Amino acid sequence: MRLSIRHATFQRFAPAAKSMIQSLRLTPRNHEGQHVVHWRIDVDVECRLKPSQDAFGNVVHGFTSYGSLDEVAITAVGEVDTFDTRGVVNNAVERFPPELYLRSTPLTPAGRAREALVGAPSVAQEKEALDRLHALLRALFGGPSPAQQRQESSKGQGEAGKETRAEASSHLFIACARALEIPARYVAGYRLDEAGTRRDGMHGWAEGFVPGLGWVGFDPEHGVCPDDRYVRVAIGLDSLGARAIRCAHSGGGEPVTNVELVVGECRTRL
Amino acid sequence: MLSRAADNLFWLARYLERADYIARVIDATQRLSALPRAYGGAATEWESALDTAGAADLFIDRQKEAPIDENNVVEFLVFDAENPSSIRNCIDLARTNARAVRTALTMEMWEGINSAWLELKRFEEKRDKTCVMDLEELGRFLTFVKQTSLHFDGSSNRTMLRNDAYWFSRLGLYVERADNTARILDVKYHVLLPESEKVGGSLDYFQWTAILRAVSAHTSYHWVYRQGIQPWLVADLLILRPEMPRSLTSCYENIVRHLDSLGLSHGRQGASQRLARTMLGRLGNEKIENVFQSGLHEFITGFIQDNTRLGTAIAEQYLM
Amino acid sequence: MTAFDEMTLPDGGARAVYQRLWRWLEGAPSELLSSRRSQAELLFRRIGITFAVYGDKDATERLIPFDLVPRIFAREEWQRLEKGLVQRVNALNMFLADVYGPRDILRAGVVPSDLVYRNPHYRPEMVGHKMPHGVYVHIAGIDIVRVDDKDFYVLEDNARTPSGVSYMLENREVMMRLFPELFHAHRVAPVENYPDALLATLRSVAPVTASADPTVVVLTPGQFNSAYYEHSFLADKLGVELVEGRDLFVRDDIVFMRTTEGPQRVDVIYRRIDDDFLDPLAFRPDSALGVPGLFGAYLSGNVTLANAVGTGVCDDKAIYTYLPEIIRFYLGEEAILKNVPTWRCRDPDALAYVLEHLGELVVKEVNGSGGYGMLVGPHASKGEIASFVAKLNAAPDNFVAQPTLALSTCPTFSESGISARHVDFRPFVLSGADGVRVVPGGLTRVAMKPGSLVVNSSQGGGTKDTWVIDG
Repeated sequence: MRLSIRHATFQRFAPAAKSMIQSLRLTPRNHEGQHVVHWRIDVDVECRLKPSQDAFGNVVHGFTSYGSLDEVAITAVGEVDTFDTRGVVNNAVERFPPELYLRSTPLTPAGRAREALVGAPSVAQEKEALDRLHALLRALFGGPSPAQQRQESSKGQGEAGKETRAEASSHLFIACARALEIPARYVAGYRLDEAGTRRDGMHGWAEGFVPGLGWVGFDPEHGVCPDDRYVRVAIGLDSLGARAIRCAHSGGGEPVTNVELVVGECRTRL
Repeated sequence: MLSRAADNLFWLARYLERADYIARVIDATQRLSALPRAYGGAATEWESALDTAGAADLFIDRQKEAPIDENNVVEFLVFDAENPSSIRNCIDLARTNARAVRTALTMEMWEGINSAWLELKRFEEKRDKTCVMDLEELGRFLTFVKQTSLHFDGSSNRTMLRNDAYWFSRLGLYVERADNTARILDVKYHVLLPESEKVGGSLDYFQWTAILRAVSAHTSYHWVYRQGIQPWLVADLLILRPEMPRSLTSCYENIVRHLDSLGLSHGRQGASQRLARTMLGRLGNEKIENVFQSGLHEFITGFIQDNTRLGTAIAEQYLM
Repeated sequence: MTAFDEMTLPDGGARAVYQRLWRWLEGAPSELLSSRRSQAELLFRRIGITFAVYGDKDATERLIPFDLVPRIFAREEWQRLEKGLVQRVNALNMFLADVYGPRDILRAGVVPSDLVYRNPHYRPEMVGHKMPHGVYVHIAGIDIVRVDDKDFYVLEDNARTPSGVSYMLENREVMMRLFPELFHAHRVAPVENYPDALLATLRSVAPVTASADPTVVVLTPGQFNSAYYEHSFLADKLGVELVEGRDLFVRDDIVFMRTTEGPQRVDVIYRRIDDDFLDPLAFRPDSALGVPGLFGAYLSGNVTLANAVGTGVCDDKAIYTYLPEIIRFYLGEEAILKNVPTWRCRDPDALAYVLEHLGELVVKEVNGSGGYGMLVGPHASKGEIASFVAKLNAAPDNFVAQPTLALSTCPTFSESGISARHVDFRPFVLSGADGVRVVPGGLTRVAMKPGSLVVNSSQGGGTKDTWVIDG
């Protein structure tokens, strides 16, 4: 499937900021499940976009800008060919052994995971990593379970510093996998949603490492494995490490951020 | 020098100067309000003290219905933690700034500020116990505040290297002092106007001396003019006379001199040098008759705005 | 348990290195010491005034008890110690270059890889970036204890932002004023060149893009940090600016400080801020202490941070237990400084032993410091022991245990005259482009309470001047 993506972020500073520095993780890379046809990032203030890679192999663009900055638009636009690999991620950039992804982080605390696992005895009954991960997805995110209800109540929290629903469910999934000694990580990316779904930011899901198979994606928010509706953009130990935009500014007010995100399917040209 | 350190020094000097000024205003107001009504002693003196300290709006905000009398105003101007310009806060902020740039101060300066702060704590403790400060104690306190700024002034003059640290602390002092002198003129301008003689007659004499006292110029006046106190001469002394250390002209002579030293040492000049020179030039060409003719009030209001603009220019050029 | 006393021999005489001091103490009336002690207080206020007389409650910070009686090492002892410190710090630097580079030591199975990968202080962000001259730990504080007159034991390595060096310098300053006669008789190796050595070290690791005269600054969290006086003291002694995060900014991967003469490029930052708070763009986004973009500038090689980011992976108590193997792996040598025998509770056999012998062991949290999160078995109540049993069973990986060491004692001036108190020692080791330097001295910490083994200043410990003398 060819997906066309347009992801625009508008930051408004009132009063205007005097300077800012930002780092953007907004560029997808190729692997067996996706091929980037073309991709472009635009920032509408005077700056030099400097590309680099972070430790996890994510493409990062950094920029600094000075002057009176009241509004900044950051736009990522492109097309990506995607293939359904049933969640398996092959030939992606891997900088670390899977073991690294066993460490817990402040956003993926072990304590909460242990609690959640107590309520899901079915998970531990499975022997193989892959079965355990699927059981985890079913048990915690397959139906209206307590974990999911909790997230329902925090629905719509897209504010800075608060977890979105996708982040919250992925973090719980990741923490549970790690508690079961299965390496797991966060993926930020795009998803072709059902018509009428509104998103005010990127989607996020989890990947768990299965010996013999490699990294396998799990989308706890939707209770499925990613297919050709998904585009991977950045990975991290948690959503903070994969965050699309990190911004610091001096002078002026705190920015109000609006996101316009459109993910669509390109129709084959006749 | 780090901009933040320069900013600390600038404000350290400003706060101590402000504390000194407020102490003098209280002093002068006490004398005035102690006069019999027939000599001009009026119930509005404390209101005008608040105005002079630039704290009237805040007082009304904070104190609501409280009467504007000596007790309440002194309390507000001296000890109120909610009043950012209370003497207590000025000394406290001065010390906070001093601590942040401890290594840029000489030992004498730091000791002076630190012991002033400790002394303030002692005054406060004593007062907290008894809940009031009697007049005698208040007198001691005001003397202590004036001595603190004298000590700071003297120790920085005697012990500081003549570099950024010295120049920025001097700039803070003179910008604040110019503002203070202008403010007292702004509040009292009506008693200096010729027409006011009709209203109050020579009873305003005590108002004039109160102004002079507030800027410690009572004795200087007689040395400069060798005649009885005349309102236009009071204005002349406080605005134009370069030999009077609190006059606007004198303040700007100093501001220009220290900004020039900075410009010379950095090999670069900017908006603050230009603005300060323009203002000094204007003061130098002025005659007090013209000031009265074209409006004392307008002149002072304009000056306060320009002086604030200079503070902003210094901050933008050096302190951010 | 009788501890080794560094001055007094079992027969009542004194060890050779303490002979002169011993005789002097014998002859000195206790009033003399009392009066010198009050002079010392005064001096601390006056010298300390350059950075720390707050005269208010903050002053508790400075009032760490100072003991007048110096602790003495013979030159031969010091040389052995110094050799061991150099060896150890070299190995720490090689270990860090390896775990953030080729990871040979993990592949060789010398150090279990999970101790690195799952260590919260291991910074994946640092992987693949070489530090100038291979130096990660520019300033190390290695905590040393003695139990006899032969060996030095390392209690722990401090490779992040070790503090206390200002006490080394100040204590010496005060002692020289108070006891000129003792210095005259002893020929004590000087420590006053430490700031120069530190500055030389920092300048030597400036990035290649820096000018020939690199700009060094000290970065502090600010005046409310408990070690602020040390930061300002060091900046003053080094003759460099003491900056806070807000004094710095990054433009196109170059770090500048805001000065009254405009932006000035900064090349080397001696930072006293933890990794987590350095850069809100790279680490904790809520950090107001750091400099946005600093980490990017660092990875671009335009600024050097001392110590490097991520050094915490080499100084926790779990990696500590592998230090002898680490030294052997990189240097092919046996460790000169011994490790205190340590049970790694992650190992089930060790855990079983530890649980059985809690009453005689010291149990430490792997990532703890400052004497917190620690169980001193012989001094612990039943309740404390029970709570540690629970903690150990819940998360054995988080703990190591060591025998209760009979830390050596030194003569110390107390209420009842001169008596023996337990001590430890923190020398400061500097690593730069031109090798490793150790100033002959350090911070001796002393437990002021009789019999106490806890020397941490946060728990009532004091300090002493430390002398290295020709025997």
